[in-house]
Amino acid sequence: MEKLYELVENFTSYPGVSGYESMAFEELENYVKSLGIFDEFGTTPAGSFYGIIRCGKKDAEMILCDAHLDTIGCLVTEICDGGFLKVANVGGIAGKILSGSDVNIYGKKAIKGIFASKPPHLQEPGESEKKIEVVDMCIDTGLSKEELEKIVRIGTPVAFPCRLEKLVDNNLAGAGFDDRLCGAAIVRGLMMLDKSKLNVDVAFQFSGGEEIGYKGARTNTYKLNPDKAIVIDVTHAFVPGAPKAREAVYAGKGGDICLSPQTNRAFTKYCIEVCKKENIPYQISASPGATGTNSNAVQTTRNGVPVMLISIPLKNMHTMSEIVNMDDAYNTARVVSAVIQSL
Amino acid sequence: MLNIMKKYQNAFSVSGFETQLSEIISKDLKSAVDSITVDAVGNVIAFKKGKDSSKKLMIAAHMDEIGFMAVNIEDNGLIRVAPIGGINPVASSFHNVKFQNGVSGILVIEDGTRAADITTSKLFVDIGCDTASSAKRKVKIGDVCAVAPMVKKLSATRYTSKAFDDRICCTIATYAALNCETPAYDTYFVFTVQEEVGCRGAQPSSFAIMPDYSIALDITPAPACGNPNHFTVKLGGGAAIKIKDSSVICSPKMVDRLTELAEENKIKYQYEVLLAGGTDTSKMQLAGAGSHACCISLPTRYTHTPVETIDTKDMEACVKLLTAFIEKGI
Repeated sequence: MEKLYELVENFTSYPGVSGYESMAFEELENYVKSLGIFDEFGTTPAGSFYGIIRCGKKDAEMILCDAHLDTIGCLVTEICDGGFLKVANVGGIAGKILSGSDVNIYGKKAIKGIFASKPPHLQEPGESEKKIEVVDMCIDTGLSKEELEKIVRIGTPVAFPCRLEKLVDNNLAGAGFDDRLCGAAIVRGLMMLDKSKLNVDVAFQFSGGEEIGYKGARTNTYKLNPDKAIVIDVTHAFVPGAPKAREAVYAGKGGDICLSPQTNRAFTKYCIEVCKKENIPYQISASPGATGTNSNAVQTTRNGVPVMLISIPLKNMHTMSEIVNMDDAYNTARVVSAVIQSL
Repeated sequence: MLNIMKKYQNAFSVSGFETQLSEIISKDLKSAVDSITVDAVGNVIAFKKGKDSSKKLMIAAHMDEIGFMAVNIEDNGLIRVAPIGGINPVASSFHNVKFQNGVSGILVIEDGTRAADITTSKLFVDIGCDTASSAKRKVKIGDVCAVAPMVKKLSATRYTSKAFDDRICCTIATYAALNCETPAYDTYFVFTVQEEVGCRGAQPSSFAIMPDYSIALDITPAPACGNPNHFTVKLGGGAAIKIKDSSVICSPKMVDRLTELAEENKIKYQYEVLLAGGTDTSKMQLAGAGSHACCISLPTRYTHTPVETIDTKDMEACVKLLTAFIEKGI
């Protein structure tokens, strides 16, 4: 569990707003290399990073483990008088959560900014009930427009900083758990493997552009051309007051294995059997339409890939304070390891 | 360049029916490139060998424009049409249109339609026939038409026409192909089909080429008046280097390199963040294992109307920037 925490701490510290994942490549590669489990590394242009473990057997099949590297964030659209920035969101962000929050601005150098907020004292009656769009908000940098123009340009990425906060009962709060946490769970799972008994090559794909249309998963899967794939993402944990339909998935009850037309039923069933055999806690949910994850992009690449999707329950998704129960992340890592080892 | 522009603007090339323009472009480029082919969906692919053949550059401009297809010939001789691509029914109505077979007509709206109720379903074409049988002799179901071409010079550097989207970028690509020095990499100038109906030409051509680097050429809306919020591009502001549109976030590597080339060569440029609208860029970025992709956009006022307006200074900036990348590479 300590190793998993260390992985989460590292992975959530890198920049990597969708489209700008390459900003994370160098640190990520250095760190992942230091773990000593991968034999090869690479990147593809749509923002994906990958590492491969070779089992050493001739004509071995490849199993791909996918999580996405990109995070939601913003891009600068205008540099305004008084050192304010206008931005557009990348990926789904609710404007109402932003007021007063701090952000990292990744210009020529990284600077801090705060989403400006109109104090309640100054608001007109009824103003607080209005929907706030991200494009109507602005970020206060404290610099003059002239100073700011030397650091920032149109297109500069902006993201939430991640400060990990340990809560009770093995709960952890932070930003970018979607989906850096899942990358950490995969790598933790791969660290559990007994390499001497491995019958398949294993690829870890940290894909780019998921939040803007599953882009890096498609291109990097094309590059790796795997025979099977496990896609890992986060899902919404049930909270009191949420619709009953969401009640299938609770935080603390294990990874959520998804049954969907966008996953392969036979391979999914196989993985469930492995969980039962190894006594790994898991939950099951159904997604009759789209899963909203990389599963479909991976599944439909080249000639098609049998995919199983397992998701880690998360609260407050797409905010700067996402909450995960780390037991779920650890148990998901166990599923990854057990399935791969069983092949 | 203006002669090429006028020739291309006057050609017929509605999405799915690009043959006339593709023949003109093929003829223009034949002597200047190493090979030229037309693929199964109709993309024109002109190839120029580069100094370094280990890398491939793909450039894409789309030949097609939005238009209309005849879906029913009514008893009174009027022709009911359906839109092809993103039609603004208010902007297109009460204009002259021309069918691919040369028949002229006018695009009109059902009588009694209030301005607020104008939708594409209220549109039909009057070709001057009173009966279905006489109309059917001139136009058949499935025939396509577009607003009739009419290029006008507004001032020394401003022109207005229909279909600058994306004919003007075909002009830019042709001009660059004719005038560039030996490219840095093996370079494919692709004139794509069916962009306006979902970038359908760019996908197979980029999978056939599998580029390492790719540049789309397209127009981008430049606001003139009204509420210009959330638009970053100005007409006359230079070549627009795309940061994002709703289909793509351009590769930082390409954005940085194009910026560097613009600075080095003193080419006027601006950055584009487009919140709604897609381009061929995305299909090229995602072909195979992916390519480093960007788009050089030409600022255009009144997009998807018969009076799209451009500034030739921007056009020249786009040509210079594109040529610089073709010759120097990353």
